Amino acid sequence: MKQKLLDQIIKELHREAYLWSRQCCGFDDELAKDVLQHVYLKIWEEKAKYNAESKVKTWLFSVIRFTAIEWLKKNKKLVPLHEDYDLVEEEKIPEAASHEELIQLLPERQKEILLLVFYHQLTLEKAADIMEVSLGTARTHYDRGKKKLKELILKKQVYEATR
Amino acid sequence: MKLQDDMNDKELEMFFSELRNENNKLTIPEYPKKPSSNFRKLIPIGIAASLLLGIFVWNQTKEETPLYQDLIIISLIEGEDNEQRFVIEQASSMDVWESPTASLLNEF
Repeated sequence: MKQKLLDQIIKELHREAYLWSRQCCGFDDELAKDVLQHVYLKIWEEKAKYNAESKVKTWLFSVIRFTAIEWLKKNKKLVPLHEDYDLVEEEKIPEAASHEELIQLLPERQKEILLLVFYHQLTLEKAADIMEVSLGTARTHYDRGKKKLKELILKKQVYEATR
Repeated sequence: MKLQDDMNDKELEMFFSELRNENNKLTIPEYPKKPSSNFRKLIPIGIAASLLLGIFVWNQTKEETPLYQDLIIISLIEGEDNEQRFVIEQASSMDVWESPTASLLNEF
């Protein structure tokens, strides 16, 4: 693909790329801007190359995710986990929690897969590619994530009804 | 079971749809301007500069280099009347050097 055409597609995907970058950075706006800027630099300097094996959106999301993890590791905001590991969080009742706060209560992998599938309307296969996991692993995170998020939504609804 | 799953997913779809609506209020930063790459433009300039430098160095090596001391050249020249005579010259540089026995290769 010609560089000019690739630049054009990336420009068209800018809004979605920013939102994904923000989601990868725990909904931190400033961090998301820095990460995305770094991603564009990587692409322009050809440190990240598009090899036409996947769609531009899948590739771009993958670069954003990788860069965000790299960035968070550098700033020691992230603890690396084994890909199958699901962090068991202490159960919290989401008191008037926003949608973003509810998602943040999910383990990292579950959060990513649900955002990719439900928010960005990607297939499970493409989400697995972006997350660099097998389809089976992606499906496990997807099922667990759905179950967990439904529980959190229900708890929030119960809390709001009894308030 | 599948129908139940689909119904449950509707709830999640609604949740993410609300999240998308919330995000519509976000200010999206402008797409950054791509810095113009001067690297490619510099390639022909680099080649031209290298060629000029090469020509300059080549010409420099062809220049006569002064000898560390003056040279006296004594030549035996045959005149028109077959009379041989010595010619003595003094030079501070030399661009052609011929072996004094070189003539033996051609003249017998």
